[in-house]
Amino acid sequence: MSPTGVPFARLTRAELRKQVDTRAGLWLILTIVLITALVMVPVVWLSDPADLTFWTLAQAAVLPQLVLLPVVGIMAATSEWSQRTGMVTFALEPRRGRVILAKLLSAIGLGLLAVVATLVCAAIANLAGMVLRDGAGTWGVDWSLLGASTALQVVVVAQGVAFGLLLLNTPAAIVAFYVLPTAWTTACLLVAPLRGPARWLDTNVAMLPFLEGGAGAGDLARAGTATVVWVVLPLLLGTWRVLRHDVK
Amino acid sequence: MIQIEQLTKKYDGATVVDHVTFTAHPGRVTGFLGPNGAGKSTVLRMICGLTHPMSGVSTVLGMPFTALPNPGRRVGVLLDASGQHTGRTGRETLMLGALVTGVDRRRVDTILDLVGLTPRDSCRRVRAYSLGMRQRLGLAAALLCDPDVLILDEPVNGLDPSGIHWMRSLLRDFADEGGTVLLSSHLLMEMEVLADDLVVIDRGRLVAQGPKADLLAVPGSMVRSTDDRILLTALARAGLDVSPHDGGLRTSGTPAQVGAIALAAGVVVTELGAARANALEQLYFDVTSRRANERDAA
Repeated sequence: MSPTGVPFARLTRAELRKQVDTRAGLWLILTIVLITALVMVPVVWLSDPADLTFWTLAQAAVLPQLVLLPVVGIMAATSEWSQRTGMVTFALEPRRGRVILAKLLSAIGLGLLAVVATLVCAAIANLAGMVLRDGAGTWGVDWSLLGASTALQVVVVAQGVAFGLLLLNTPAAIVAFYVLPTAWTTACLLVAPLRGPARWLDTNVAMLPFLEGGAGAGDLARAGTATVVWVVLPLLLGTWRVLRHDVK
Repeated sequence: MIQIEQLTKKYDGATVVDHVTFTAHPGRVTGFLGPNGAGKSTVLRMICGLTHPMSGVSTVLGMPFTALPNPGRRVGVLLDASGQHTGRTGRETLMLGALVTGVDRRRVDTILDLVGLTPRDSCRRVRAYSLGMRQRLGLAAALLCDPDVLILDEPVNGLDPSGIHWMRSLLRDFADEGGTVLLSSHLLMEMEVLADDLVVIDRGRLVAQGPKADLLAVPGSMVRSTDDRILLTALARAGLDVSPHDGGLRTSGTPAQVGAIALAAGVVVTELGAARANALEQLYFDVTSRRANERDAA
């Protein structure tokens, strides 16, 4: 009948589709794009017309996206448990590791789509800036910075997936995702001896150089270490948990 | 074909499933019975690779479920009708199944029609579905790829009498065409009508299994005659167990033996036949430990 397994591409397409085929999923993505677009309104309104370029507007969207996109990753991982659809999903593909990988890739893909949508919004805002406020309107892009911030978006979406897999519960994963790193950052600020290791273990600190530009090899090592601790390790533990977990 | 052997599962030290062994054969409907908390759902989840057994093995179509390439194509599974995303439409739920298994999308419409969900129903979100509609949707998902095996946990829950009747004929046809059906249910009357084979578990242990006809069969015969008193003496003298029952005699002998003895004794027999089969309910309460008035402790 069907001697071949489920091709990975098909599995990934199904996981991508699951993230946008419900009102909740679709609105999550639309809201993220909408919020980042709204952020550009005051930028267009208040900036010095000489600074009003495509790149300034695109940059304004990076921070809100870094905050919001991880929810896409969290939801991709937890919805099978909150909606109890895991029994169907894992009965259709019992090789759970492949399902997890498909979820990770589709969440990252969706995150990248949101980044592209934001760039489109920035282009529209740039045109609006030229028309309404006689803005400079240049289209120059700092490609290395764009690459770095996009890579960062990928990392935080993956971190969302990791926290989702680890906790298998949407509210808990969202709270943990926002509270734990911030608590750690605060602890590092308050406790002097932690400041040295914090440069290696705090994603908020370690990733800053990449958003500001001019990150060196040392910065890369520090960001890499923080990523291993906050993303790769939770991802591995979460995967292990899902592989072992009884699906009910 | 589904084969399980010595399947065992413990949760926190409590044995939920204790060395359960049985086979569900192709062409037959195997009814899986037991009180709440007996371990039925756990067994079904272990067969489908969703719960890991402590020990024992199970195979579906000759291999472990988890080793089946694209299992959705061969095995239709419905373990919990409420395990569907409430924000998704019924149609979309099936489209996802078609996408993963690679079955022709046109099957979705065919199968929606088969389970009696109208195009209008199928475009509504599962949140708005009654339990009966969710059961139909779950069954649609299980039947989507025209599988060889069906594994269904309480599929008639929430169905109205016409729905139950429909499900019964659907599963009957599926088995008659050579498919294997393993289903659990609380509805004993339903099982009595539908099942060919029965498996009964209680507190994680197998307490009865076999063809329904054998399990419910009562050995012996019922006989009525113009003079039961003489016949009783003759039967007892021939070494059979015999007792008055329902205006006649109940004996441990076959109808042929009883007929021969009556002939020799010169008694006119007015009615003679094999003893009537027990009701499944009788068997169920005989083999499971809980009484009808006993509340489920779990």
